[in-house]
This record gives sequence, structure tokens and C-alpha cells, in this order.
Amino acid sequence: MHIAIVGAGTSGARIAQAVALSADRVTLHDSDEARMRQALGRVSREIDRAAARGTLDRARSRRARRVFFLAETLDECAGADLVIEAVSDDLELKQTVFRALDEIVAASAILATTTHIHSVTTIAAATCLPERVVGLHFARPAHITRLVEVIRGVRTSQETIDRAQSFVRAIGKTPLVVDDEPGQVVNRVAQAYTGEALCLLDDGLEPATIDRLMEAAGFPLGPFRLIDELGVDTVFNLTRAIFEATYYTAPYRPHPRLQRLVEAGRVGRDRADGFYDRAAAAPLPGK
Amino acid sequence: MRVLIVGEVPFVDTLAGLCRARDHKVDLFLSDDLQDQDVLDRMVRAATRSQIAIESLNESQAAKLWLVEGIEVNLPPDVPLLVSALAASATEIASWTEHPARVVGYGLLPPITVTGMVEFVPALQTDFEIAARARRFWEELGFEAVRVPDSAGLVRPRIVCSLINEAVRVMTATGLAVEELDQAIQLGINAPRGPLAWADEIGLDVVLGTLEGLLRYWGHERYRPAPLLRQKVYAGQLGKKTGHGFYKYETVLA
Repeated sequence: MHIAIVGAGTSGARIAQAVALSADRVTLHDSDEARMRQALGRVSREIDRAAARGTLDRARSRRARRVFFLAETLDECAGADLVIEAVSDDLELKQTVFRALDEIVAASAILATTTHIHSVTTIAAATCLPERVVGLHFARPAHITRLVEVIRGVRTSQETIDRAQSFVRAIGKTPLVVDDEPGQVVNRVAQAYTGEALCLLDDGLEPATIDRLMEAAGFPLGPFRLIDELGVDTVFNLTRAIFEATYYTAPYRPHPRLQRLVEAGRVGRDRADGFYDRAAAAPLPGK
Repeated sequence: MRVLIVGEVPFVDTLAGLCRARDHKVDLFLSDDLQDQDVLDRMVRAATRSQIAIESLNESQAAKLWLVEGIEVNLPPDVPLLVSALAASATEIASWTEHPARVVGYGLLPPITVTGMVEFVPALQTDFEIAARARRFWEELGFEAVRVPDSAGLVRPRIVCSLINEAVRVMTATGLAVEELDQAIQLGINAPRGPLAWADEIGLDVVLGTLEGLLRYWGHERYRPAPLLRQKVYAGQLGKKTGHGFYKYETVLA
């Protein structure tokens, strides 16, 4: 199977890593060549590490590193059986990419979007063949978590859904077919977890107290450590998107604290402090 | 110490086990059995000679009110009454009693483990000395007592019941099977157990009671219980304890 991945940011790189062992050919494209090379370096390092740990045998790791091709133009994705779009989550950009892919890629190929915040149906509307457009929603981080939501747009065909499911199984993950609704399944339930924790800050609780209690209840990451891990900006954009897509249904209202942190550049992840101060490894005061 | 424990499974069973392991003398009563006059009389007698009392009933505010009043009027006035603050805040529960200064709230959520944490919450009326005694009692059982602000649902029950509520709404809207949904959430957000299996373990009536308590306390639509949750409770499908909730079970607890 020939898979093309468009967009080599964090999410694209992790998806590339997830498909590396199962594809015959992976074409990676990004308008920014440096980012593309960086992504490939990252994937190769991960493969080497897995080989060194013994979780991956030498022959397979050599093969996995040979499947990658860097494409400087989108045209090189033409021969793909499946194109996975993972550019930044901007609707206009995504529609532009899909309009271009629609012309370049053979009609028999599937076009998948990894959007977490836009509707698959809206993106598919930019193409002439919306039947072959599907959402592949990799639970984050994509190279580790096993779940992939396969999102059925209003006009997605059953054949496309079936093929997308087979692809997800082929890369060793578990598919879950869901309709194109705001937040689908995982993000809706995840926002109940993080959103409720944010509301508790209004009671004067500290993030660290809430995290300790939830970690003692069995969650590997307390809600605030989880938000920092996913990125405060990512979580904020996601909750805002669900809120807007549900026509401002009150339970999905984002918490203003997220926006304050984003404005302050405290977006968490490996880039910066979020709810927790990275240098001090201490949480920010709750108030 | 002589400990009176009254309420619902699985909370009271676990607490009784922990108390016995610390050599406390335990008088244990299931709230369901108190409909029987003989059992009720025995509970009243046990209350008069107890040195600490623990209440855990959260299926509804009405049931809780009835039980707390029934226990409290029979307790000697200086005996601490530890109340589960899921379906109502500790302060509200204390307001139902003759001696509100001896009421202290707490929060536990199944599965309860000894090495775990108990949410510890004095009411606005609670006497300082009583609160300190309550904290010592929890710590001697092996819990770490974490002080949290008083509100219905506290921290863990509030977050977990909200998560369950959203999972039930999503299941209703998507038509996904119970197992599919639980698996998706476990894989997708690394939850320690599927939310629906967790609801079965806590008891669907307790989840509903907690959400209704949150809705009353905050008046916010986000706590409106999913209709299916209420339907299951009407049908007596309360989870593990009745052998049938979102899943079916071989053994029945109650």
C-alpha cells in the first residue's frame, strides 16, 4: 500500500511513524522542506530506538526506513492509495489542500483528513468526489495510542469507510466508526474530564491537588498535566470548536483560564510552561 | 472504637472491612434494609452506643435527608458524624441535623483502596476539634486525607460522574455498543476503566444522585443527567450491585 502524508508537523510525523511498518511506500510532503527532513529524522530515530530496544527486528527496521520518500511537490502524491492530510488545523488551508489533491490523486484513492476541530463534511465539500473523503482521527499521541476514530462525513461512501477501517487495522490500531458530529466520541468525553477539572479551579482548588486526586483514582495523567501534554492551545481550540459547532450549548463552554494561558504564551507541551512551571516543575497557583 | 456504618454497597462494605482491619467494632447497616422495623430498631440502638458514625447514601437528596436525620437524632451529641458529600454539600447535610457542629463531609469513589485518598471536607458549621478527630480517623484507616472545598460532588465524584454523563450522552447519540464506547475511551484518553463499567461499579443511582446534587448546587446545565441514566435507574438496572447496569453480572452484591 502506498500512503501519502501531507503535512510534516508533530501530528504528521507521528502518523508517519505509526504507518511506517505496514506500508510499502510512504510519501511525505510538506511545503516546508526543513520541517519534512526534521520529521523524517525523528521517525528514523524512533525506528532505530525500537530496534535497539529489541521491540522491532533489524530486517523490519531497515525496511521501515526505506519506505519513506520525501516529496517536494504535492504532485508526487499522485500514485498513493491513501492520502492522509495532517496540515495545521485551518479550514481554508485544508480545503485548498483537498481541492488540489482531488485533481492530482486517482479517483480510486481515499483522501483522509486528520482534523480534530473541523467537520469532515465541510472539508469534503471542497472536492468533486466527497464519497472518498473520510476523517481519520488519531487519538493523541498518534504513534502510541491505539484508537483511531474513522469519521463518516455526510457523503462518505460505505466502501471508503470499509477501506479506511482495513487500513487502521493493518497498522495495528483499533478503528471506531463514528458520524461526523462535533468532538466525535473521544474529544467529547475528554473535554468532560478536562472541562470539569477547569471548573473546579473556580472553587479555589490548585491544579496540583486535582491532578493528585485524579492520578490516585487511576488516571495516568491528571487533567492539568494532560492539558500541558496535549498543549493548552490545542485543548483550547478543540473546546472552542466543540462549543461553536454545538451552537453554543452551555455544557461545552470553554474555560477562560485556557485562553489566558494561550495569550500569555503558556501553551505547555515541550515548548513552554503551561499550568505547570517546567523549570520549577511546580504548578502555577490556582488563582 | 465503635463505628456505626450506614448506607449503600459497595461503599459501606469496603469501609466496614477497613474499620475491622483496624480493630474497630463495626455496626453495619444497609440503607435498603432499614425499611424493616426490626433492622431500624437495631440501627437506632447501635447509634446510641457508637463513638463515630459514617453515612454513605447518595441515590437521592430525599433518601439522604431521611437517613442522616434518622442516624443523627440517635447519636450522642459529641460523636462525629461523617457524611458522604456526593449528592449534597457537607454544609447542606449538616443543616438537616440537631448538632451540625459534629458533621464532617468526605468523598470516596469506588474502587476504594486503603493506600488511596479520601477527600476531606469540613462543613461551614463544623467544630474545629471534631474536624481534627475526623481527619485522624481517616488517616488511621490508612487514607491520605486531602482537604477540598465544600461543594456537592467534591472533586473525584464530580469529574468522574461528569465523564460518565458525557459518555452516556455520546452513546445515546452515536448508537455505539457499551463495550465499543468503553474501549474507545480507555484507548483514547487512557482512562483507567471504561466510563460505563465504572458507572456500574459506583452504582447508576449514585452517579445520578451525584449529578442531581451538582445540578442543584450549581444550577448549571452541564450537570443535567443523561436521560438514559435516569431510565436505567427507573428500571432498577443500578450496576454491579443489582447484577445489571450497562453490563450484566453473574454475582449480585446487594
